[in-house]
Amino acid sequence: MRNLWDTQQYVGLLIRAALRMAVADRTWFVTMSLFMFLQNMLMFSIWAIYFSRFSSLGGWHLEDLANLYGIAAFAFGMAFFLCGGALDVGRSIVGGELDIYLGRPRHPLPGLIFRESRVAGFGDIMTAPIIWSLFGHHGPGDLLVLTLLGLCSAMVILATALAFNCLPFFASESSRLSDQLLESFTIISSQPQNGFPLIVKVILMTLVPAGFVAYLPVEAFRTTNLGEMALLAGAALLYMALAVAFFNIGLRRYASGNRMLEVR
Amino acid sequence: MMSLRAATGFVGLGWRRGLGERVLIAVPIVTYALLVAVFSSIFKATPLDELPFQIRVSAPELIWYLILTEMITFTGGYTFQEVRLEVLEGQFAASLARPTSYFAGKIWGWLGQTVLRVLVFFTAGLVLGRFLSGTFLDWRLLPIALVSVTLGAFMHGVVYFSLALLEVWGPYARPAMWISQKLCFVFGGLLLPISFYPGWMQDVAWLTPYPAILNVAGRLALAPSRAQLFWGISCQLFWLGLMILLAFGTQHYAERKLLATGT
Repeated sequence: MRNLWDTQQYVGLLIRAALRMAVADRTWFVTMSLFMFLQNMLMFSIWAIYFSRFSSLGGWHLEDLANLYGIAAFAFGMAFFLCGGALDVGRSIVGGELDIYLGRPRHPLPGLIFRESRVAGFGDIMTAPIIWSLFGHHGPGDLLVLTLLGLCSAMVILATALAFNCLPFFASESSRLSDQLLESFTIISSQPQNGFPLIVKVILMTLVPAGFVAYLPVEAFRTTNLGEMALLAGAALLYMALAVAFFNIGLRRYASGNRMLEVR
Repeated sequence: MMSLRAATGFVGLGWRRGLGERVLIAVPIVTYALLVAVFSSIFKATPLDELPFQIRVSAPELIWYLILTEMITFTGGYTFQEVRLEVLEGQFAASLARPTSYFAGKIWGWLGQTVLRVLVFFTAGLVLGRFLSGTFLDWRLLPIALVSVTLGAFMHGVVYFSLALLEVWGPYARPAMWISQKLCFVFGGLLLPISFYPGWMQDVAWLTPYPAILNVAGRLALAPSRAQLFWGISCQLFWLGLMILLAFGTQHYAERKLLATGT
């Protein structure tokens, strides 16, 4: 119990340090957040055009797309605003920077993933309530549920990013491949997955958990299906546990980058 | 001015670089296929009979439209990161000492690389389109589609060059690229043909280079007339020329900034 409290304190301090660093340059922080918000709104405008021409998409309306887009933006924003270092784990493995974290008296993973905050993620987080309110016409109660669903999605995203970034443990030249895989995951997971054949849906709910990021949360919210919401929460925990296990397996194969004496 | 021999050398270099990235091109192809599959399901579920008669299209036509437009975003977008990193790592500054223009070297290299990527994606796109739409693109349009997609992808790369060079003035390249990319998706008609848009939006879109990048190639899937084909390619060549001039201009000012301030 004390161990858990200790870890929580440690993670809290890491997050605080990363956030302080992120907002140190206010102009940069505001610019990046604003531009991210603008690009999200531009992308969503395509769906507004779609629904100005068509009444529905397989039973989905603009409100549902707003939920989907908002959840995806919120989840990606949260994941990388708080845990931006997860995107650089692969490069740390290849560059030997992992040594610095191995030299610390804690497990290297929290230090690695919480070391940096991606400031643009704040723009993503801000996009969500605006899209949910303006286009989804939701009140505060709904926003709370959508936020909770978004947090589960953020865990799935973080787990996936971590798993992709562990590939360089097994093939050192795959750090660019990790970036590409994550980019593909981002593209696929933020699109509606209506009308997919069963086999594709199974893949998107297992091997590549893109279906858990936005599609399942929106379906659970639309139909107020508590079972699906529980499934999402369970999947978030399971994928995170798998990603940590994958990291630990990879860590056993890691050969030092000879930077053990570097102190940070 | 670069000699023809040097230009050919750069084209060959770009082609060989493309060949060397066989594994790295596999992931974008799978993503491309998945994305087209996602939207083919969406188009099949879309009540297309709600469209006004003048702009009515079928689901297979829309699928082919998307296959062509998405192909351009996947084949032409790689230049941004390359140039941005070269600016950050000082390679752009180092290029000032070389006898050839940085952009001229890049543009010929990209031509070789883009042609190779387009050929790979075009082949994949044809197979994918047949599988997902159940129809085939009119074979008489295939050569012009290949040219139009290549022009679109190349133009996409040239636009990204100018945006990446903004890094010389400060960390503005990435946010500028995000906005330009999304404007391209909206005004270029990445997912839906521009003819679906409200009138005022169509007018605004055609004032930008984005329809020449995406929509012109995509429209080949919507049974264009001979006049539309001619107009489309002319439009692409016009905007490509303008974007190349803009890229040379941006490079000129970036070089001046580097020479004046040293960083």
